[in-house]
Amino acid sequence: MSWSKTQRQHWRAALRIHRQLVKARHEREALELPHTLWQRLVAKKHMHQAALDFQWPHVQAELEHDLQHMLSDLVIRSQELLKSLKQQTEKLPLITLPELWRELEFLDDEFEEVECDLQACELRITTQVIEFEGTILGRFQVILEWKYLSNRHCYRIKALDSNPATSNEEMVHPHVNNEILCEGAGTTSINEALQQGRLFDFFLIVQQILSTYNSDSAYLKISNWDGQNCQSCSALVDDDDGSTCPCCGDLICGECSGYCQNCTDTMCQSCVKSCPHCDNYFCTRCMIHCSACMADGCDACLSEGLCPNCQPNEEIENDESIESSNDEEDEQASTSLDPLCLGQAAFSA
Amino acid sequence: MRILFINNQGAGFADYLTLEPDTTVKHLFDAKIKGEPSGYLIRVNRQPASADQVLQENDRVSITAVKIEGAC
Repeated sequence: MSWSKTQRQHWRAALRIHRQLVKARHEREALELPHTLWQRLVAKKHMHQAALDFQWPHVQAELEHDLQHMLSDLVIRSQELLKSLKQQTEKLPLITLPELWRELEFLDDEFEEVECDLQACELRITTQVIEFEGTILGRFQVILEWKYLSNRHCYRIKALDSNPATSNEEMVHPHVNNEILCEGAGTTSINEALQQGRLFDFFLIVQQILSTYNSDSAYLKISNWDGQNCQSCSALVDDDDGSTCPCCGDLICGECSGYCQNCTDTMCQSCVKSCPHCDNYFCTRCMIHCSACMADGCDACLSEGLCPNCQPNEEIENDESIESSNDEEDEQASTSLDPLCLGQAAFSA
Repeated sequence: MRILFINNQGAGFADYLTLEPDTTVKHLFDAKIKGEPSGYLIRVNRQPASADQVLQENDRVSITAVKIEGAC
């Protein structure tokens, strides 16, 4: 029976992926013995011997202290090596090439769309439409870059029908940031699946993480998905909680809103000012300029376009005119009483 | 009868198990997993399996939780 084009393509991909898996496993399994630490320890031991020979007790004590630290480090390093070696021994052998080919073949049965790109060294699967609490996030593509199989992040998540959060266009899923999935409870099983070459399981686990919403640990809660940032404090604002400033059009949250005592509108704090004369708050639309000093003031405090600071000048003028008219009246009265100004002292200017 | 059993939840592990002949998917699930089968994707040789499916020599059984919580 001859193979189909897809089967042949999967075989070629399996060959390349298997090569990468072998390489990645060798890199992980390479045992790095603590040569440098051992050499430093030997050198220190010679110095300690010299200190003993020359009877330098102070130097001897310092070197013994150093030797203790270095031996302790050597024990820790050796224990780490032993643990790593035990894990490797217990680990399941790497998937065989025919099994890996079968993994690729069965991807088509499990996922809606599977792409095998030999040139880009990528294997891609497409998830179903993902929806959380009525918010449709669309389909996602899980892209495995097999040339990076020895790296921790050898795959990325791409939104195909992107419905990003209103407050952040980069946020396409509550558990994906910058195309990197935060694996949470799936971290170890993803790691195990990738190390053993179980690509079918790897894609299945990633798909299930993408299909699960964990509100306790999300980059952005789905309830805030359509919320926007308050222009004043950057807090997320729901449609119900926020309002638009009628003066500048900025979106503001309840805590950052101000209130105009004249028009009773709610607006952002930068569009609300206190009247310097009565200390009440008014929006910039309800504030008026004093026609004399151009300072802002509320309608109630300004009279005929003049602020209280400018009004007293007119009053003084009024007072002066009143006074001058009174003087004239007095003069006339005194003249009428004593036209010859008798009995009045002369004042020098 | 020897099968490959893959548990994709928690720490995750894959190991060979020796089972009695005529062991069904349900028997294996009840013995190895705590919880309702509806909360898991059970695949035998990478294909969906029924509860009463009898396992065969060298079968590959994988169990993956439907809900796996990501983080941030």
